[in-house]
Amino acid sequence: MLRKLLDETLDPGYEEAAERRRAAGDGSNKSSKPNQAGGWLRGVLVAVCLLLIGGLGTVVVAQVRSSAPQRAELRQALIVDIAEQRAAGDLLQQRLAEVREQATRAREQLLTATTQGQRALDELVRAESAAGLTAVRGPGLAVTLTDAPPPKDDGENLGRILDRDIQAVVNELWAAGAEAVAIDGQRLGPTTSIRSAGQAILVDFRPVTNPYLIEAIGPADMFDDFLQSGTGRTLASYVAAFGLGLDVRANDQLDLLPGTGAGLSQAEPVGLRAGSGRGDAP
Amino acid sequence: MKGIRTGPVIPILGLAAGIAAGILLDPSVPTSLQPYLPIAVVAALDAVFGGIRARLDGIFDAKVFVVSFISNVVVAGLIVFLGDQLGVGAQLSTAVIVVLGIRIFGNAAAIRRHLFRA
Repeated sequence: MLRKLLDETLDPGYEEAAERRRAAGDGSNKSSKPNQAGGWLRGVLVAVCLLLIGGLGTVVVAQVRSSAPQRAELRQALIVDIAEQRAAGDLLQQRLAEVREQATRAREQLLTATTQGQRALDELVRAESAAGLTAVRGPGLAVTLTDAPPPKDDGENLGRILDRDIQAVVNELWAAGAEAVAIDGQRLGPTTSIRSAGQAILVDFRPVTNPYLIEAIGPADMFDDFLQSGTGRTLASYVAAFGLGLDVRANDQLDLLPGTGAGLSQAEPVGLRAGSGRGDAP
Repeated sequence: MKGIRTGPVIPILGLAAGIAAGILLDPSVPTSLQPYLPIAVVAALDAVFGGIRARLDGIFDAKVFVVSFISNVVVAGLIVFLGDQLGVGAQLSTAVIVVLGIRIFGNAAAIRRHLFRA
């Protein structure tokens, strides 16, 4: 069948038509010239067909040409939109940090005046640092995850870091006793999500990019605990199998920024005064 | 070989008029038809190259040309439509393009042999 396809590129209909004419005794080779009564009409038909073909081709080319820049324009507009919205978000975040700092300072001034206020302030500070709302500093671990270099044959990159790799690392760090964790400088709070949207990984709905730096402040044995954990070993096997990058370093002094905290709208705090033991939890 | 001298003027005029009409009128194509247009063009090109080759071979026949043009376009469109309904539209489009492409190449080679004797 393939051979037939490759050899017989000319429509067999032409051959047959020529055969028929020869059989009709029309003579040897005049057939290419429309010599019958309908010849003129046939020429016009051919011309009409070619007219259609020309029109069709032009329309398609015009269509493709006009749709390509449109798509590029749309894409550019979306990129600009994203940049603008991100800048606006950053600005709001900054403003929030400023206002929060003002509030903290004002609160401190008011509360330090009385002993009762001082006690309340201590409790508040403990609660806030437990919730990840204050900047912290301490010894800990820096885990860097890097995407494997893209394969040469345009195939799927199996060594890409996924959201669940980062989730696993973070969970393992918490389990190993981490007290504060940040991804690419973004502090994890009580309601922080780590998830992927398309190709991007979002931490609290803000994109983080390769290489992914996960910093955790915690006890000294976190290093060994993490490397010997199931997650640590799985990741090490991924490094061997898929070529992704895993770098774990103990660090004497890590500085983590404050998180944004959870905005409570439905949940109402209960018994702030009563639960004095609550603030002890790391 | 007489075909060359008996003037491909009318067909060429037709082609030129078609291109001119396409540019000047700039007709808008319904969205539902748009996926089939590129395939239709390739099918039409196949008919054109077949026609030119037949002409050079001295066995051109207007009826065969017109019928092959129309049926090519319709069948190519139908195959792609069917493929879309079955969820293999992209693959079937590729198949149609490959087959027509082979035929176009074969006919173009034959035309080249006629014209340059090489």
